[in-house]
Amino acid sequence: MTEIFQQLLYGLSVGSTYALIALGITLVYRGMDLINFAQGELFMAGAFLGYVFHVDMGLSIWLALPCAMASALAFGALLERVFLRRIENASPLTLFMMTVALFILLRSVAQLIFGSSAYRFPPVSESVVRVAQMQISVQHLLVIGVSLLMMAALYWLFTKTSIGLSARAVAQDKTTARMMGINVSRINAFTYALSALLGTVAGIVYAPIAVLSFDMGNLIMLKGFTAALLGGLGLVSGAVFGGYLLGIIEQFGTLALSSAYKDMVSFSILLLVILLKPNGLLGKKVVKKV
Amino acid sequence: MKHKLLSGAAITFLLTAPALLNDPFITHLSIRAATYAIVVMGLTLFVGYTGQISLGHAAFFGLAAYISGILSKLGVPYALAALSATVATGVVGALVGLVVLRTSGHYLALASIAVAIIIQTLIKNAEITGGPSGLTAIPSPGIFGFELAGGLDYYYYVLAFLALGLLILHRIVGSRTGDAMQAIANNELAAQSLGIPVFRYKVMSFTISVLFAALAGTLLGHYDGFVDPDRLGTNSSILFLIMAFVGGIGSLPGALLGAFSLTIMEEYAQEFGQYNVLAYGLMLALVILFMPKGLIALVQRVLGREGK
Amino acid sequence: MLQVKNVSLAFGGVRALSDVSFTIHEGTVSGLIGPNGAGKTSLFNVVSGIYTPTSGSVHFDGAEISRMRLHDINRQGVARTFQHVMVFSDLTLVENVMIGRQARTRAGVLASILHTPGERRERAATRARAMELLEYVGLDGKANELAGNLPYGEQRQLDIARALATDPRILLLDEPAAGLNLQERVALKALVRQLHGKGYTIVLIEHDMRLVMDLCSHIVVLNYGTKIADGTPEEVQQDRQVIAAYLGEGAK
Repeated sequence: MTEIFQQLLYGLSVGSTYALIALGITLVYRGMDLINFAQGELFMAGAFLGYVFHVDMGLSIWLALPCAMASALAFGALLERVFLRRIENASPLTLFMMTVALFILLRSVAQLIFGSSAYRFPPVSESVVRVAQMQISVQHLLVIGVSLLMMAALYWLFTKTSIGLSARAVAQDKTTARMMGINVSRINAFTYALSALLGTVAGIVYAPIAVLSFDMGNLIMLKGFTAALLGGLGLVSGAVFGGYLLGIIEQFGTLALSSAYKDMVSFSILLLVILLKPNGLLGKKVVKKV
Repeated sequence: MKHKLLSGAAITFLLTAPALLNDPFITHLSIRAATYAIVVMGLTLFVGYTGQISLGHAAFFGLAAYISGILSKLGVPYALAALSATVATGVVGALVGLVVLRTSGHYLALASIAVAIIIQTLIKNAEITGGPSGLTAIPSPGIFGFELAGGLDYYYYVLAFLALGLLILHRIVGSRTGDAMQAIANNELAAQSLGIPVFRYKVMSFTISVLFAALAGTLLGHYDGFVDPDRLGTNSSILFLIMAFVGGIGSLPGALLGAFSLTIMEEYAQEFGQYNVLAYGLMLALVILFMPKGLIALVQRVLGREGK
Repeated sequence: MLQVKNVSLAFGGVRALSDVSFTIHEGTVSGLIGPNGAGKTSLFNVVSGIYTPTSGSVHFDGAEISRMRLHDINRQGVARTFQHVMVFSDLTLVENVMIGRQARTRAGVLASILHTPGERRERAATRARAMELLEYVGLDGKANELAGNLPYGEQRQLDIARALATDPRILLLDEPAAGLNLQERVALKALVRQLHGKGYTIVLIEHDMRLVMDLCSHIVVLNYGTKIADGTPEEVQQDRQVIAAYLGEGAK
């Protein structure tokens, strides 16, 4: 029994990361009608940002984190301005291919700067918490905690601030929002900056318990998409739900299958969701309007 | 008409240039580029003309290489091995298509990635494929007792298939079938309301593009003598898509242009260090920002001016 | 020729159509009218196969088409145009109309690759017919222009030409006059009359009452998804329910 709870805890930790990535994907999808193929690379870039502040520059993690977050916001806005602004009205395929370009650029630049090797990102604490025969490291708990904090912050941002309200208006109806005086381009920058922020926070708490390398974003992005789709693409609640669900399923999957096939679990789930319930577990069926 | 002329000119250039330059490295590069061009042409039919998306074509490219390699090593004569591999992969493609083409857009993109990764994982973990380190010692093709070990001979061999493939695609695109595909790309509902069985055409287009990728896979597999699971990955699939996009997504000569120019560019970027992948990304971003119709549009503009 | 029998259509909680029944006779020009949201386009969608009715059935020439697939229904002889014109904007006019011939031609992919004489002949015939239809609607001068570049009124004409290319027996025109100026409406009326003369059965959804009363010999009125009147223009014009629906309960 405790074994199950143990796996559940780890599943929640992994799931938190997936949830944050899925949230980033969902935000960009809702706000900019765009599938952000570069989300995983923003995660990777954010983790390295944290590394530079914390390890290279020696700042305490509690200072490094906000520095990285601020940099991520600026970086995300910059990416939108340089690469996405100009093609705002292009076809969905073109926009998607641009995020593919960003995916490649971020990866290869990271590889050039940091090389192909794995780095060690020191965890906040090496200690382990023991509760009733189960144990979980503090860092894992931190992943869960920070993720929940981020989600709460996002909720506050979108419901209680004026920019959040504007962003929701743009997500609902870009044209009307524009007509009401909302600067859609600036909101797009905000949205993309947010997705960079989410990726960064997820990356920084994740890196100490896993690997920090230029390649870490690749699979995470696909898992994030699976999670977003699982819950219901475009649904914020779906992203969170999907993330945790996927994390837990994957964790239990590793018990049954060898690790080589672990990823296959996620992708088989992805396929099943796309084919059977494309609107996700929480989504509602959408009827085509002619 | 213009497309035909461009394609013809391209073929002529491709026929003569490597022979004239007579540099084994250039020939090597040209062989790779030509095989990629075959994949990209097929992808252009599916993505450019039928308006769909696939981020998993490298899996079919690699699968065929594996099947052909394994059969050859078991003693099956080359022609039969390569043919069976191509057909078998085509069948797999059709089955996959029947399943995933019920979706479209980003769902299809993700589904294609998922399928490719599943195929890749299965191959990586199987015994018969040589596992993660790949399949080695694949024999060179032997046709009518004549062995093609590489060099210009092999280049012309691949080029023959390239030209044939180009002809086939030209015919399809200019026909009733091509019309239906373009209608689907423009407005699926309208197409269906005009009596076009959309799903059937999507599967057909996908299967044809898979066949092209499969054939190319066998060509490159037997040339390299070796294939490994990394060839099937998402990154390779993305590179094919980028070649199609940079060349000009709705254009067959564009496919050739994209494949050749990016292969050459990647090679030279490598001279400066690990810049090859970066070069791809930059090229893609630049084309999207400044030449959204692809490099082929640039070529057409230049030729158009000269024509006047 | 076309029989709608007790058709109901519901999406989730919304009832778009409730128990609608009527018959369209061959060779007639009929109108389908009603206030906005009455379910007219939904009815067209059901007949042409975009929606499957929740209950009830649609029969065309004796065959039940309600559960057929979209492209099969078209092959039976039912053609429709759309409220928001759906021309293939990246293709030329002649290519647009040629695509209309898809349902009536046969050359498969193999024949196309081999460029058989049969395929070549069929292709030439397709192109000729497409040009013929473009001439008929007066657009042959722009045959090689991209459909997306046409002004709205001409896009509608293209839509009709393309629908005609499918060799239909019945034409469902969804608000063909919407967005047209007076001149264009006159041309449209003439076109509909000509088509009627050629033997096509036509059903129009329209808001332009004068157009409807002028052209149609039979009118069906919908309101809130139910049929409230069905008869000649005179009968419908005097029907109390119709007047109430359009002018509100207050008017007597």
